[in-house]
Amino acid sequence: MPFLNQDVPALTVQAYHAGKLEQIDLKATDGKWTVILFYPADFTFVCPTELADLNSHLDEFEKADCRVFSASTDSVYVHKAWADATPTIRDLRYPMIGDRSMALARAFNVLDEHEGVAQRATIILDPEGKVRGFEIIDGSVGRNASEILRRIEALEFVREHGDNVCPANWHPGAKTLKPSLDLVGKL
Amino acid sequence: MPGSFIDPSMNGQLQAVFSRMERPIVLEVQGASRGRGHELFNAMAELCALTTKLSLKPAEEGEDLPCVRILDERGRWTGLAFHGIPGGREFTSFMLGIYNASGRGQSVDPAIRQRIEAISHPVRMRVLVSNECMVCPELVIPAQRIATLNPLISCEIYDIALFPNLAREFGAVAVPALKAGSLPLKFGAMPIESVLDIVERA
Repeated sequence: MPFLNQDVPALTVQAYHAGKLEQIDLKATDGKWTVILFYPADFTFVCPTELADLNSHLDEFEKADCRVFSASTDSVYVHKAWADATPTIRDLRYPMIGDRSMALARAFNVLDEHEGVAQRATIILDPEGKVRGFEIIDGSVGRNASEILRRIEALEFVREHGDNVCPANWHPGAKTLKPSLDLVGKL
Repeated sequence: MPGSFIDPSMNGQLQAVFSRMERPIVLEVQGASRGRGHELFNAMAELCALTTKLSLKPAEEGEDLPCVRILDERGRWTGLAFHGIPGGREFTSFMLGIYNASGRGQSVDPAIRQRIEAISHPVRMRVLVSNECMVCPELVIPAQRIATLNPLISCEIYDIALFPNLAREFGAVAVPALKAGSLPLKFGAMPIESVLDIVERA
């Protein structure tokens, strides 16, 4: 089970990336954040939309020191076929993991064992390779890259500042709090 | 009085502060007659009614209203101000600001004091807080202490509930946040040495 703070599984996976095949060692984070966007299958409708959305924000993810992968249980060769057939997919600038063995989806517990496809899951790993975010949403709902980016930036902020700050969750015009006073040892 | 700003249970601690104040302080409430300024004025009036060492001065004009500025007995600004209403946990910081501006105040390591007094350029500190924030006083109190020890340094506290635009302008995604001069925003509680490092660079 991919509980929060658990280490990323020691897996090397194959990916299709801009016309070439690559080996990706998930543990080799190179000090960067990692986002893995699982989706059910190539050649579907919602998937290209959100994969393209992720692609359009790629510069911002790079600026946030975050590497990005998509992943499905299709093979890298199906990814290639999809890219050859679909301009949106051909333009993707991040690696598309081909999890044909389903080892990655199974390791993160996002595999629909009955269908043999990954659920629509988003995994966020910190620069040490620990799980800091884990979400699965219903298969027909696309995800928002801006929201994933916001979460990465917030996680990085918390990582840097720890419990030394409070989230700025304020409400304009909120009623004034009654004062509290604690001067013990301060005068 | 039900609904009043100051709870009677705080009177003992407040009297301890008042008894240690060496000089009177004037609380100047800017924007006192409108909106939240009226609420601020009433709150400060309640505080001033508890001692002869505090007096109240209403004012209409000012920047980022409502605001209460801490003035010395001659009406000169001590460099401390609170934009908003210093309720919640910020009331402790506010009272310590008054205490520090009124005399010897809280003890400061001599080496630190020497560094503060040696700063020869003006520095405006703005600290963004939330009144319910537990850690905010841990930045506000040292920042205010520095400002009370050098007339070239000011420290203004902003309750972001009333100044969300400033928080957006500065990119404050958390509190406390310190804007010292034109330096990038710094977040989090910090000891006086760390605040001083920033002020010296500002």
